[in-house]
Amino acid sequence: MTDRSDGQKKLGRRDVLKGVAGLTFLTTGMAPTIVSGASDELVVNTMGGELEAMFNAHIIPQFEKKFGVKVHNDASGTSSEDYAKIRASRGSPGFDVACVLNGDQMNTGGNEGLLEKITESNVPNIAHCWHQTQYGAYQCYQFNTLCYDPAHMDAPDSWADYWMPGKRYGDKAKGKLLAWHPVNTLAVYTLIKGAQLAGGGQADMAPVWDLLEKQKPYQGAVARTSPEAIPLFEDGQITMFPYWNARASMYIAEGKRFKMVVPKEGGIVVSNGASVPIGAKNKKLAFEFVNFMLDKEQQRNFCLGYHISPARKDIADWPQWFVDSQITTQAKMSSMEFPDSAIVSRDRPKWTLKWQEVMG
Amino acid sequence: MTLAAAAQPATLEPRGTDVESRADPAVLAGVQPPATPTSFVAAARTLISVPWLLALAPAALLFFFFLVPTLIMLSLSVVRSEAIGPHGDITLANYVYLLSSPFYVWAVLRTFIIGISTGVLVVAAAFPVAFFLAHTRSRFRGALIALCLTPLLASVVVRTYGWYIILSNYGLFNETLLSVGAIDARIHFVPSTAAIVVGLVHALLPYGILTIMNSLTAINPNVVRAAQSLGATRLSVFVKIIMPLCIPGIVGGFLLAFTGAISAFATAAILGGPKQETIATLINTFMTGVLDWSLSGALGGILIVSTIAVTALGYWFGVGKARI
Repeated sequence: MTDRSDGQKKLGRRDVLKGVAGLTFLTTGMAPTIVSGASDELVVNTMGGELEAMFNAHIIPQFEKKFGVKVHNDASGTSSEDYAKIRASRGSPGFDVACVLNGDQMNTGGNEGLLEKITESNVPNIAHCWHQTQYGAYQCYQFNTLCYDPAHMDAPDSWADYWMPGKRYGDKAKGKLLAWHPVNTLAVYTLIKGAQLAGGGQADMAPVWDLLEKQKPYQGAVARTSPEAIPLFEDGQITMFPYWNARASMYIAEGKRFKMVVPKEGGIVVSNGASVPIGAKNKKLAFEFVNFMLDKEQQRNFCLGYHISPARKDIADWPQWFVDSQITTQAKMSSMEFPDSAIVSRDRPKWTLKWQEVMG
Repeated sequence: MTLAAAAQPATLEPRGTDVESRADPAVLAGVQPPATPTSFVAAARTLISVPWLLALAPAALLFFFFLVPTLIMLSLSVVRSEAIGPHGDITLANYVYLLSSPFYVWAVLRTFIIGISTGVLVVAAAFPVAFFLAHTRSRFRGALIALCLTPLLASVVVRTYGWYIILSNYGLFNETLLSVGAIDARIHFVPSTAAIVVGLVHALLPYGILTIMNSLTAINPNVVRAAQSLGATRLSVFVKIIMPLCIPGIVGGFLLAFTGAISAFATAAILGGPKQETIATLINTFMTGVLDWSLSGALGGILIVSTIAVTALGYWFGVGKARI
């Protein structure tokens, strides 16, 4: 400090330089501490809304307590956007676990060399699950159903009621259906159901484009995400839409006015789960987290809370309402329709481009 | 006030720390003699005397974080995208694919229609406000300017959802029209191109106001007084003096709104739909849904080239008029 004639001190240039040098030394000296601190932290990527709340209630605090680490929940983005981040960063997206990828994305990630292999040695709990896949661990299952507003229309009982609404409901269904954008997997599986109705399927999607064209006058809105879709339903703009059974039954339990039906042709199951990007900073802890997600207690609490079917097959004490609506037995699992992930991950881009052209 | 008196402020230099750099001894007389220049001050002086050195840091920043990524994106647009990495021979197939499909051509045209409409409406709405703010002597002028900037305080997503609530089928606008009997059935304002334009005009209006106001305040009031003293009416002063002199501001406001509008994603995604796809929403779909970065690169290339062309045109027009 420089002495002034009035006895006070003023900040001089040398003081500033000394301060900068001291700060530089301090930060340089602290760097190893910060880096070592990072080993006790884990960044997991989930999704906003109810799913984020489920992770925050049933998995993350329990994991932090058990392992004595800090978990940061990055709830930004949909699963498509999360995978796009993994791809854009060549496997180093800034999070250690991608918790909400689906089977198609895991398959693509494996083919592109961006996801770590999941085995019984790094995630032992997969031994207790219905299905296993190489580049992820399934956490839960849900399938596409039809939701409708009972105050405005009779219950649909077939996918034909959605794809050819004029036959069942006439003009009163015009502008009342919601179509999903193919960036959402729900759209892809609904398109497959449409193709099956018209004599095609995953390997031959041509028939569904004609159905989509004819369905356009009945569409009142197009949505990419649930937060876009649900308000449209609540304010009466749309009265029927395809939706995952899990979140639909959770909303119904909360008292939302729509009802859900499983069409007679059944739904297609989406397998959601977690993967570890190859560039994850804390892989050991990341695998521990994936394994923890599949612990019996976490599976039970998460699935009951989110109204979603479990990946583990060895949990027997489910409440009756859950058994009635979810996949909890081998017999029910065997009756479900699963997509061919290889076909879907290969052809989904083509289907998206075609959808855009038909809808545009 | 005479013309000479009006010109006086130009000679009033602020007295401050930079006074030692002035050559005028009369100005220097009232302050302490400067301390012996140190190496730090000398280095700062050297830096200021060589302007390109000052530009070095931002230029490096722009080079590494704007130009290089843009070049990478453009290089992606001329190869085929398969799996994670683009590879193979150079091809224009991505551009041919986009420009031969009516859907994508329309999306590009729609983007420019939205950009031009937004630019024109922003200028039209901003000019009267800017004119008032530039000429008012109200003590609330500062508060009024701050008020004009309030749209910038909220996130664009929040603002856009505000418009969604207002314009939706069961929104405020429809309810009001129905209650006063102006319409019999609800109007589908969203999704629509017009709704996107409304949302963008609201979001970009502050830029138009600031740019035009800056241009208006830069007009020398003596020019206006001189015209009036020679018998010009208010209208002819406005048309022949003020408007030509603030054309750079108008063009600048238009360009800011135009470029902001054609690259806007959130507003177009929320207030538009699949029939209102724009370049920005398609790029997002190509990146996240289709996972084809080459097609997004090609669309990005189309966006950049067209934006540069329009900006160059506007610059030429604005600067040309300013010289007049």
